Order: sequence, then C-alpha cells, then structure tokens
Amino acid sequence: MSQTVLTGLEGRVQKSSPIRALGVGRFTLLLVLLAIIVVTAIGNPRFLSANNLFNILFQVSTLGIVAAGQTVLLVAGGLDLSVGAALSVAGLSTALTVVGTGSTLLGVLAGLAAGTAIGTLNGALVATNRATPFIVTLGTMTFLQGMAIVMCNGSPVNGVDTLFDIFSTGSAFGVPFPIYALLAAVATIYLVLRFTMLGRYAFAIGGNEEAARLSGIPVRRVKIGLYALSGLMVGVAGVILTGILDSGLPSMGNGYELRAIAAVVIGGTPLVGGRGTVIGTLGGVLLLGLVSNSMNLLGVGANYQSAVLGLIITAAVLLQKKR
Amino acid sequence: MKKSTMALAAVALGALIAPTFAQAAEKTIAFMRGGPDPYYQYGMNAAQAAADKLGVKLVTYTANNDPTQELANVQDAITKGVDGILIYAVSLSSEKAAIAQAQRAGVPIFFQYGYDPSLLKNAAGFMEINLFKFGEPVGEALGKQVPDGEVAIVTGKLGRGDAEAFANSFKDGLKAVGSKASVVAEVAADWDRQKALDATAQILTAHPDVKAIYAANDDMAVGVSIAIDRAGKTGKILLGACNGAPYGIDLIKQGKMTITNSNPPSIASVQSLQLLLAVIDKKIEPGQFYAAPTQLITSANMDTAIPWDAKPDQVAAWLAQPLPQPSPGPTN
Repeated sequence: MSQTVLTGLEGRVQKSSPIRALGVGRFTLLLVLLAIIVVTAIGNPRFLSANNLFNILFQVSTLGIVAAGQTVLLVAGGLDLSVGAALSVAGLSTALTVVGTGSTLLGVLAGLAAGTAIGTLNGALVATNRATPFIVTLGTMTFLQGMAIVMCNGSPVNGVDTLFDIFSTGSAFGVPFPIYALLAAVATIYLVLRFTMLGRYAFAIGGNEEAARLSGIPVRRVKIGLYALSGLMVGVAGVILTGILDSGLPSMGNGYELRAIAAVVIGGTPLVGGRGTVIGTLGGVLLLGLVSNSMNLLGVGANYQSAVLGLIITAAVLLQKKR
Repeated sequence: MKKSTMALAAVALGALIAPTFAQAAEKTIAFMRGGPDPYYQYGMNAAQAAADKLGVKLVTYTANNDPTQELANVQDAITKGVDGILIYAVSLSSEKAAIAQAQRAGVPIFFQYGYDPSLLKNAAGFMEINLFKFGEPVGEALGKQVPDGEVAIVTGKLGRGDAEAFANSFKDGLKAVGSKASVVAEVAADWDRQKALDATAQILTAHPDVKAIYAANDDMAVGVSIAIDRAGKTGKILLGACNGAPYGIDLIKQGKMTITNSNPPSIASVQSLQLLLAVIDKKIEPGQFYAAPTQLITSANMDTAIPWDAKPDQVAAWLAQPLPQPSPGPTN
C-alpha cells in the first residue's frame, strides 16, 4: 500500500512507502534500540540492572570516543582508516612512557600527543595532496600497525597500575570514569559541530568542497584541524583503553576503524558527508554494544552471533535510508 | 613531484635495499610468522637466538594473517635462495600451496602448527600440541574444585578449529573427573583481551553464580580477570587458561588464576629450527610429526615454568639437548 506525495520545491512526485509514511526513518535507531531493550529485558530481567547498563556504557566507551572523532571527518566528506592502528600506537606510547619515566601524567600526555600528531599527519597528507582519504589512511594504517609491533617488539607492555586503578576499577558516584570520558567526548564534538566555525566549515566542505573553497573557506587548514581533533579523540581512547586493559598491546586497536565507521553511518551520517550528528553516532555505538550484550544475555550461541549482529546492522542502515 | 614526496620515496627505497648489504651466513633459513600475535614474536625471538648460536642466518617474514601474503612470502624466500623455511601457517588452506611452491624449488619447509596428515609426507616436518586434548587438564583441575554448579567458557575465534578444540577438550576434562558442573555460557572472544573482558562482564550479569571460567588463552584470561575484579568477585571465581604466557603466569602469581596449560613458543621454535636443519643436513628423515613441548603451570611450579622470553643461556641449554623424537600425529 503506497500513497503519492508531492515533495520539495521541484514538486517531484514520489512514492511513499508505509514505513516512510509512519515516519519510521527519522526514529529508526531509537526504535531499533528500544526493540532490543524490550526483547532482552523480557528474555533476561537482569539486563535492566544498573550494573549491566553501566557495563554496556563502559564497554562501548572507547569505541564511542573514537567514533565521535570519526564523525567530524565523515561530516566533512573525509575518512580515517588508521584510527585503530593509531589507537594502538597511542596506547603503547602511554604504556611505554609510564614504564620508562614512572610518571602517569607524562604517559597520558604522550598518548594524547601521539594520537593528535598522527591525526595531524593524516590531515596534512589528505589536505595538501588532495588525495583520497581512503587510500592515504589505508597507507598510514599499515605503517602504524607495523610501528606498533616495532615499539613493543610485539609483546604487551605492563606496569600501568595507576591508569588501571582510574579507568578499569575507578568510578565517581558509582559511574566508571570511561563513561564520563565518553560523555565529555560526545559533548565536545557536539559543541564543535554546532557552535564553532570549524564545525560549520566541516559541513560546508562535506556538502560541496569546491563551493566551500570558492567561498573563501580555508579548506586545507580546516581538514588538518578536523583530522587533528579526531586524532586527539583517538589519543584519549588509547590512554583509557591502556588503563582498562592494564597494558599497552600492539593489537589493542584492531577492528576499531570499521566499527567506528559503522557506528557513525548507523547513526545517520552518510559516507559522502554534508550532514550528521554525534548524538546519532552515540546511538550507533550503543546499538553495537547493546546487540552484543543482548545476545550474550539471551544465550544466543557463539556460532550465530556474528550473523545476527550483521543482520541487525544491515537492517538498521537500510531503515535509515528510508528517511 | 614535490620534495617531500621524493624524500619519502628515498627513505622507503633505502629501507627496502638496506638488508641486501647484510653479510651472508653459512645457511639461510626463512622464519615466517602468521601475524603480529605475541606468540609468534616470542617464537621468532627464540629462533633468532638459536640461529645466532648455530651460525645460521635467519630472515623473517610476516603474513599479517593473509594467506595470499603468506604464499608471496614463500615465493620471495625461495627466490632469495634460502636453504629452508620454518613457518607458522596462516591457515590450513594456504599450507598446500606453500608446500607445492617449496617442493618445486627443492626447499624443505617445516610447519609449526596446522598439522594435516595428508601433507605430512611432503613437508620437512610438523610440530604441534594436541589441540584435541590441550584444554583437558585445565578442565580436570577446575572440575576437581567445582564438582557441581555453573562454569563458563571464553573461547577464541571460531571457524579455524582450534578454538572449538580448546573448548571441547576443556569440557572433556570436566567429565573425566566426574564433575557435574554445567557449562552455562560459551562465548567467542576471538583471542582478544578486550572482547574477553566485555564477554565476561556479560556472563557474570547473566549467570552471577558462575564458579569457574575457562579462557582458551592467557591473553583472554587477563581480560576475564579484569572483569572478575570489576565485579568484585576476585577469589570467588576460579580461572583457568591455556598458553603459559608471561602475563598468564603473572595472574597465577597474583592468585587470580589457578592453572594454565603452557605451550611455550620459545622452546618449540628452537626445536623446530634444529629439526629443520637436521633435515637439510640429511641427519633425520623428513615428513615426521613432533609433539610440541607442554607444561601444566600452577602456583606450585610457576617459578620453574618454561619461559616464553627465553634468555640466550636458556636457548643454549635447549640446543644442547638431544633432538625430539617423532610421534604419531594427533587425531580427534
């Protein structure tokens, strides 16, 4: 059953599906999240315990911080495939500095600096060569994966007890610190995109880079700034994950790049840029965390979990397209 | 071309040709890692120390878990003129192609893991633990302490056979000692520390009465242990694992883990290198299976555990031992 609707200034005739008519597309993610929550809560009442809900937020905290940074890049029509490898390098920089100097503060600064420097380098490579971000960051990803192994000779770096106490077992008012960090990262990116020139320029570049350039926007500098900001987020996630895992690992960032991009896209930011919200990204991150948590609580067999996760992600993205 | 781009190209070119100026040694062996996993790294380090002592040149390759890259590495090593190849294969599917390449060139190829009886006659040899039994002693040890109640399993990446074998053999161990404990959760955490942490948090939410958790490797055991800590259940839940890695032994020292079944890559790689060299020198027959050294580690013997990060004098002591004897290959 479909109805005919006039849309837009062009008065183009479109077929509206029942899904569109119900306005489902606009609230797809919220509906999917609610459906998972209801089904899981019925299947296992422990799902709604405060402990479990904090666990979910704790588990997605580092992915959420990386995805928040990735959001500004996708809004501007960019992309960074190296965030996972950069997270490993930032985490190892933190761990090696803490072990080498005995100073946790220096370790934290080293991790943040490493993430920001890698982001800035990626931005410079993308902006100054007008190269495809996909290819440039694929190259830096491979380089950084190798660097991570070289930095620690392929072995875990232990001895970050203070960071472990803060980020793995530490909390304030019963809320683990990584959750505060996630909320701070999302708030930061929200404010940048909504209230700063950098954010407005990001939307303009993502919408039409050439038009942005002709209208006087310093595209190169803006791109470098956006990649640096994303890199800083990666550095934050690297420091936190080092604390959570009580060690720096050369593989600690494996798979983050695709999950971060998936979360951003599920959250409604298109790969071509021009629009998007970090709140949507947070929803995407929560979806990924919820599905995994839900399947384990409902006792879905290990053999089926990847297939179910893939189906839910695909369904969420396809429903988003109905907007 | 920009100056910066030219400089980058020059650096890359320099990095590429620098190793060719290294001095040639009496024999050259290619050591091939499946990926960046620390297990391979420790094995490679020990093999390097052994090669230095034996006056052999070791050239190292990594496949980054890509079977295509692995085959390219084999071809490159053959082109380079190596005398033998010591390899941790990425997958069973890539082994046949690697053997075919090596056979055509007359280069012996010795496999660490990936045992396939149909390939044995064409290889210099295979060394491997018995995957189908490896988790059993851990299951027995935990089963004795948990005669009934709930236990959980955090296993590795499914689909290659090893994660499944580690989990099933643990269950066999529980049964072998008559434990009535039921496995209430079995989650695949892909050999990953963070995924194991997350999976365990979920297991403890769904099954708060779990008495013991088995992690299929020590890396995941660290994640499991952190989750147990975060849940405030340290000392209340038993933990067992496999591998005997340094960080696993640390858990035993801290009283957070009961047992780990160790398969040290260090001594295994040293012995595999010795066996490959003996095949090259025609001192032993090719095409034989060797059981990789294993050791059960608890708080009682953790100070005498075979080290993963073997020092040169330890490697020298292993080299002084007689060569391992072949044995029948494992069967499921």
